[in-house]
Amino acid sequence: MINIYPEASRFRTDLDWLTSRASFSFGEHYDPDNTEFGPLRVFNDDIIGAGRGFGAHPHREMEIVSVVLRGQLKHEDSTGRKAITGFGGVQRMSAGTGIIHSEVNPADEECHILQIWMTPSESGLTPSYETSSFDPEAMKGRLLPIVARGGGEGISDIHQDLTMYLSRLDAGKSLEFRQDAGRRVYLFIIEGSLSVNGSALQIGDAARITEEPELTLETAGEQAFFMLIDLP
Amino acid sequence: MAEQPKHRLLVKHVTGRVLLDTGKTGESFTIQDGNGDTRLGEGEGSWKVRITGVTTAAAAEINRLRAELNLFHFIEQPDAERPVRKWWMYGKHRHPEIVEDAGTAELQITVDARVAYSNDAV
Repeated sequence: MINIYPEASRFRTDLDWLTSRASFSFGEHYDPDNTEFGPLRVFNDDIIGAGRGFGAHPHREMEIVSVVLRGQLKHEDSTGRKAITGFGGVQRMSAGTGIIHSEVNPADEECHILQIWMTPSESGLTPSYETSSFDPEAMKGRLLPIVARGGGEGISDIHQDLTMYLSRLDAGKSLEFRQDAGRRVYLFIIEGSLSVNGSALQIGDAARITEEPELTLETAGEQAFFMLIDLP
Repeated sequence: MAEQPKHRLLVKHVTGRVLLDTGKTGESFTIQDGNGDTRLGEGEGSWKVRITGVTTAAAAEINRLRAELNLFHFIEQPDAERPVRKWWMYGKHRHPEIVEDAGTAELQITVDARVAYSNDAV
């Protein structure tokens, strides 16, 4: 089953410093029928103005991944960790038993991020944070893992049985992905357009996919930059 | 008489939905530690928040989402130049305990962690 969530269905927040599109209920945007997809709880597509951001605020029992698509994102937290990440960088924070953090755009240009929250597979974890970086060239024509349980070279570790991939596919190309029984796939189009088993997706669209053993991801007349998450 | 600081309590779901905001809906509340003391410490322990005037619907929703609650206690100073003092209260090792009394419209939420936070001390 492939359920398409068009770009226009996302919750919209437009402030003088933040343009946010939320794929799931978030903050004051609430739809009781759209609160999660398996352990995936939040998928926000945020553009943060220069020098602005989210001040100190707490989290608990959540795995939070920030993927920087453009600009820079500065993180500070109550464990003493600080980091500035640009394109090709990933921040993973495990809130565990509780953490305070801030996220600010430290630069004089906009910062575009995807921020993704997942319920961890175990509770009571010690709060932790890490950054990883990947080679943007390495995602061309393939699914490049950037976050996965156990981590690895260029891959952030996460406390959930999932893998996040990025891919950039030229026009007229295709990829195959095998969805194991009982697994979910979340697909989000960052740029361009893509079809999945014949269902067309444009920029900002998402697909929530279950019970599709073979996924064919194809581009037609234009390239696509997309994220695929394989999750329980 | 000098204007007094305003105490405000927010109860939020983990993804930010506000379930109760005394600054907007006017419920009164008190906070005591496990010894009944209103001089509140921080860290791990026991803190009981008693809120009166809570609607049945709000109490039911807070109870339904008790495993994923964040409580915020703000002290807003009359002098706008002074920063708001903020505390986060939550279930660190166990879910918050919720007691509803529909007869008195009182809701009690007991949590095991209380943490001060500010932009200056992230």
